[in-house]
Amino acid sequence: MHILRSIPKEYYIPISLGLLFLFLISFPLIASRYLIFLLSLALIYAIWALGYNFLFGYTGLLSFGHAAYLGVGAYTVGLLIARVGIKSFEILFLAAVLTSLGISALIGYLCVKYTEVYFALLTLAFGEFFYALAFKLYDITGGSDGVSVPYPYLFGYLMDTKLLYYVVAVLFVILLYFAWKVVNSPFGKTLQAIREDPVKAEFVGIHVKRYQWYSFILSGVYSGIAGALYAPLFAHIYPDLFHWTTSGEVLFVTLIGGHRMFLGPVLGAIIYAFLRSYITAYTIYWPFVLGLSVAVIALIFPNGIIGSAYSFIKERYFSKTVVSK
Amino acid sequence: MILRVEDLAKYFGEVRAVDHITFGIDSGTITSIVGPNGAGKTTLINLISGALKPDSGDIYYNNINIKGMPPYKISKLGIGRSFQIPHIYLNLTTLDNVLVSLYSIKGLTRSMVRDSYSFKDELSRAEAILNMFGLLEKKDMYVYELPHGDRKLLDIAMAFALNPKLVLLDEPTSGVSSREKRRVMKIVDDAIREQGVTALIVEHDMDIVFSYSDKIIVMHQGKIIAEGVPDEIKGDKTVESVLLGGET
Ligand SMILES: Nc1ncnc2c1ncn2[C@@H]1O[C@H](COP(=O)(O)OP(=O)(O)OP(=O)(O)O)[C@@H](O)[C@H]1O
Ligand SMILES: [Mg+2]
Repeated sequence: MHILRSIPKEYYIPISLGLLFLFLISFPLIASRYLIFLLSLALIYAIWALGYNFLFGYTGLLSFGHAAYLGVGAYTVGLLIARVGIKSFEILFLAAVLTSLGISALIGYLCVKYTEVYFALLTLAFGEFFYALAFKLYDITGGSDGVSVPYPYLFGYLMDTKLLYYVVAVLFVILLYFAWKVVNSPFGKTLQAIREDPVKAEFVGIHVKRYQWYSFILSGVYSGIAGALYAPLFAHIYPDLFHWTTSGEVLFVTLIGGHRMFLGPVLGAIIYAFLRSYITAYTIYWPFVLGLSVAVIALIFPNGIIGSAYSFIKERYFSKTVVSK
Repeated sequence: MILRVEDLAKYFGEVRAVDHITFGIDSGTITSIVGPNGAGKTTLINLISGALKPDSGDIYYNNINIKGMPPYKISKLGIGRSFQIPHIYLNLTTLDNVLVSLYSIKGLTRSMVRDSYSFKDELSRAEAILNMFGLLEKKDMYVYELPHGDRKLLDIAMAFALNPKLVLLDEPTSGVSSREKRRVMKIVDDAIREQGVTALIVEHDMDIVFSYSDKIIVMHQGKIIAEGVPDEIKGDKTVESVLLGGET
């Protein structure tokens, strides 16, 4: 405790990020190939859920169609490798950022015109539109079989599972840090004000729809980046990436961890990825078990796991300082 | 004249909430709007602040016709408003509630990477405003922890943070205990005078209205039935009967 106290507060974030980075970078030295794969998947989900939570947790907008932007990122990378023959991951990544940005900007612009349930339904509809498109454009997308995706190259190096893991880890740390900056910036505070009271926000000079749109785009780009990493991880793209059940996954992940806490979606993603892999190893009824465990977690931890742990610690140890007059 | 309302009307079906009214407000004055429940007071504020679009008429603010403009543009022109039922950001701190108004008016809401508390000018301005409204000690509390009186004050403080020229305050003391009413109104009155703001205040408590207003407008069933300085309104028999008798 004494050592902790002697560290100035402004170093907490860089130090934690540094430690996290060190752990992630050294992880492959001790872990099996499968664990590396699994952690890659968890971190990809974490990136996706962090992005999703800009919109859900911070802006208060419930989207049922965020698989669309994950899918757009994955299909951009997958199709450019398999159909166009672009192998350089730098280019593929940039392309995925641009397509997810463009498409989330377009769809977001249409969706934020509506509120609450209409917003949610419209996002769902657009998600299903892409799902249908992935089926129908058989010549390009391979229909329900999808397309298998050869390894791309990063600066000339073959991006196998291990190199991909490092790329995922580095991007995760960068995007985590950026998300932290965003939610604590005036922009982030503005989004939270909109979540709390969009009517009020409008009367203090905030163009609410525009900021909801910005938030939508930001979450779309994070989703697209997650997709760009997802395609090479599975070496395959398939229409289910766009399906509403996939959209449901990111909502689950966010709720499990807790959408009111910054790290909630990250923890949720890690729990979800590992839970799913172990459950699927033991039973073919994993969707059932998964659904059940999500329900149980939701009942025991209504604020998500991180959120509930936080309130518990706060009440137990800091209640005197919290309840001031 | 900072605000001029001409032949303004808003109907909800058969209900003539605001029924072709015309009035003006001089810069630097406090004008009160009184009237029984359902007289159209809140609707009038909603029309001026852009929450509702009028059926007809014009609203001139510093000779700009603001009729039909969206609320966020009207706020940026210098019209702040508060609400009958407080609109505050419950899960943010008291300080953040006020800061958001300041970021907005200073054009900082697009700033995505700088820490929100690193804007020192805005921070000290927010603290000055909280101090003015007696909320400085509670700046780090989440506002869901605040009692009703403080919520009313915070709602108004968020409007004052916009550095407005004109504030529209919808029943600043509603729901506040009669003992606290004086305190709340004193704080609001001090803020109005210190900031040199023009104010249009909806208020039920006639004692408060008579002691703070330069001018009083009496509304009934969407129409202005009397208008004048406090002494003119005090003796008016029709005003008395409307205010006491309610829907007559
Ligand atoms: N959005 C709305 N839709 C339909 N009718 C409305 C709406 N807003 C107000 N009204 C009606 O318009 C009339 C004026 O309402 P308003 O809220 O402006 O009254 P008020 O003077 O503020 O009353 P109070 O003192 O109770 O706040 C009332 O009859 C009310 O029922
Ligand atoms: Mg009213």
